[in-house]
Amino acid sequence: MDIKIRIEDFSLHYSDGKESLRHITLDIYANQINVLFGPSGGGKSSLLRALNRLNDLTDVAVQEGRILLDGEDIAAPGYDVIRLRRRVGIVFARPVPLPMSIYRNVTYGLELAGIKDRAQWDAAVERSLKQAALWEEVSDRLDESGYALSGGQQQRLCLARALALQPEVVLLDEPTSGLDPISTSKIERTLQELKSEYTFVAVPHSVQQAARIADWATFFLQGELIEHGDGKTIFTTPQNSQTNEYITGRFG
Amino acid sequence: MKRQPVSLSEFLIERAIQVFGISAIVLVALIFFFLIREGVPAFFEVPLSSLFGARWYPIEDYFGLWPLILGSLIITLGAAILSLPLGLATAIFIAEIAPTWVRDILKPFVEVLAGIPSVVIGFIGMLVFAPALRVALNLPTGLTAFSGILLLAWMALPTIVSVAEDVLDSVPTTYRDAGLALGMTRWQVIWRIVLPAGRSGVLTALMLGVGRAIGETMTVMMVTGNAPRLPLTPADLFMPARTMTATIAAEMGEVAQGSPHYHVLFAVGLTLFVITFVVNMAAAMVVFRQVKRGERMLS
Amino acid sequence: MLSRQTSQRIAFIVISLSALIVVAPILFIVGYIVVQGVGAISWEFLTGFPYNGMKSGGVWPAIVGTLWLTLGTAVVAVPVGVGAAIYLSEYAGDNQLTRAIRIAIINLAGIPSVVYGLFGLGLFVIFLNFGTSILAGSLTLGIMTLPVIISTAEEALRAVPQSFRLVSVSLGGTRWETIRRVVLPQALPGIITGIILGLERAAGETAPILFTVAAFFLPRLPHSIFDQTMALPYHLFVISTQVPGMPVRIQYGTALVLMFFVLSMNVLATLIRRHYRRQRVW
Repeated sequence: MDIKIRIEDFSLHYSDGKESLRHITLDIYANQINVLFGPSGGGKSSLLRALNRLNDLTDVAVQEGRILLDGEDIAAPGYDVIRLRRRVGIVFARPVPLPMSIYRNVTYGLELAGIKDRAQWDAAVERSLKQAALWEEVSDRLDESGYALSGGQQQRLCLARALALQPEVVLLDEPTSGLDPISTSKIERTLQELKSEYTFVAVPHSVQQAARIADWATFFLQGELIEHGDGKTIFTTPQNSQTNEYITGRFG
Repeated sequence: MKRQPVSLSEFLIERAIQVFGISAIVLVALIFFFLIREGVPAFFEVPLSSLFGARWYPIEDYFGLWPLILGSLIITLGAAILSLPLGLATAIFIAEIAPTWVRDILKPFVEVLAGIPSVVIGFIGMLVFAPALRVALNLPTGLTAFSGILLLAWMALPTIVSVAEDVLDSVPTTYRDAGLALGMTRWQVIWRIVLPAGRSGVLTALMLGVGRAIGETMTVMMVTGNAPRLPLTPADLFMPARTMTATIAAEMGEVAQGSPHYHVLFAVGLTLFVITFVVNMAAAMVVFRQVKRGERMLS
Repeated sequence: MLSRQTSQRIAFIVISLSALIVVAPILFIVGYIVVQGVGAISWEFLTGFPYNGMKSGGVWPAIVGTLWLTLGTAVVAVPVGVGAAIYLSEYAGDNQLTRAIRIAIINLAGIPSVVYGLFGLGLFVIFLNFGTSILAGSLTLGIMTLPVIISTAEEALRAVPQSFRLVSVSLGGTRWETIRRVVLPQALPGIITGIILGLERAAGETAPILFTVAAFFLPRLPHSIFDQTMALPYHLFVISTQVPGMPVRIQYGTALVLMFFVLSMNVLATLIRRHYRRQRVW
């Protein structure tokens, strides 16, 4: 199993003292669905956002340790974050189409990357919308606003938008939290189909979803990594009693 | 995001934005500086006994500021005293009592009032309002301090109404619901819960209204008769008066640049600047403190 | 002791009457000026020069002057104001500098218009030697208009959801690219509304232009920004206080033109705001 991202003794504290992470060491495997789960406030989202430096936008007081993407420390000062964010895309919990057409939503990242070729745009739109299993539903109305779509379609549009840049890693922050079961299963199926091309790091919105999609799973509790292992083991025979209590529904 | 922008143009734009950002500070300092530069010489060129005398008659070198300061003071205070309850009542009407469709008509109206140029109000005040007041009160002239007070009170309303309305809106609905659940009438809720909860904001509204009234120029110049007399008794309210703003506006055009009169007018402007600065700072402090308290309550 | 219902009824009646006292005179003033002034309005009045000691003729040079000044004010105030708003909304941290900027803006907003006139006289007319000119007047009016534009533009920028910024940055956008491509276009209607409201105020102001630009009577149009000009508000002031025997009809006509000019900007701003608020997806 290839290691895509290696997190080494990583700690993070916000200046408002809210969520924090303490001494996390963890490997993210390439072409797998890596799941981070646990009760809210455990630091999963913070870790996720550290992986493409979106935390830079919030008030981080202290950040220590290293995060190695293909061996390069992305947490180091002076690292080119713009390039990083093109390599590591993210889909957020709530679908947030940008206030523009479906087409321009998908090409937005390409425009920022300086790609101006219309043919390239067309190709990227078709490819990524197909990957996100949305192409059939929207191919004849690409000029409509992203907000004309249903919630589930909007979220798949957001996935397509992240995929358009052909990132190596895709971060998923509770990507189906507001969606109906049909849309949720569509997205879960999409992830399975795409993992041969991408590395996924996902924070699912429920233990059930975690168990369904995880190739690898990591349990977080109050900013600490409690247990890490392959999905099957974690969700059937966890070693740690706290993990066991959480997945059997005794807390969280 | 602590990161160097990628391109030169982006770098330049972000620098420009930063410069624009601090422009307000630079401008306030510049204004202060030029008022001092042109105004302070007055204190050396004109004897203090003249400046603090009771007579403003520049042609004969009487530069007594008291009539102007007191003129501004009574007109501003008078306007504020009338304006606050009216503005507050209107804000309560708009925010708490009026049905939605009335509110939708009223709010643009108040904005229209804010938009009418003061010279137009002064014009109507001179041609219609003052003569009517003269007849109604049987005065020798309608161009009096009182006319100025009434018009200014009315002109300060948009400021007071909009600030007070924001304040009333910001009182949480749960407060209101709690009051109603206890069997209070709507009026009791407004009077005993909403107004006390928003009182510091109402204070801000008052101060901003005062700031607006003391700086008003054209209307007072046109309707107060412009006689620089010392207003000392209540009867003086119904006599002509002269404000600081009107004095500057009326006389600056005719003075020789660099003359004592010129410098005194700048000194009057400096005084106005300082007064509005203090009033607005006080208002700002109330707002800032309120924000802090709000944050404490949340965390 | 009154019953609770009775006291509520009395209070509501008093409050409603107060609101009426506030609103009725607005209707009266606008209506009265229209009724009195509409008779003066003619093609000749709108496009002609005043003559016969301003007792005859039109207000054309004053209209042109006010247009010049409004445009000049926009040129000065829009870039600086919108830039400052972008700074406050998108760049400024929670620190002493930001607080100082906010206090400065509150104070700028509170400075009396006639004091702006003094400042313009001291800095632009005399110190920088621009003379009494459209340039000096526009700069003065522009600075006076800044606080209105800054605060409305900042409000419009802040109303744009934070999630848009996060998405744009996550797709490899820099801060400025995010502002230019997502935040500004979304805030634009609100910013334009604020600009129009600011310019409306500037167009109606008299005191700041008294000593910086306004000409009592100038029987020609300005040729450049270094010329003096007549302007509608000052013209109304002049013909209603400085010219004895002025026909009332012309005074009301001038007031009507000025009020129409200013209030149509107000209406325009309201319409833009309504239109885009309805269209907005977020």
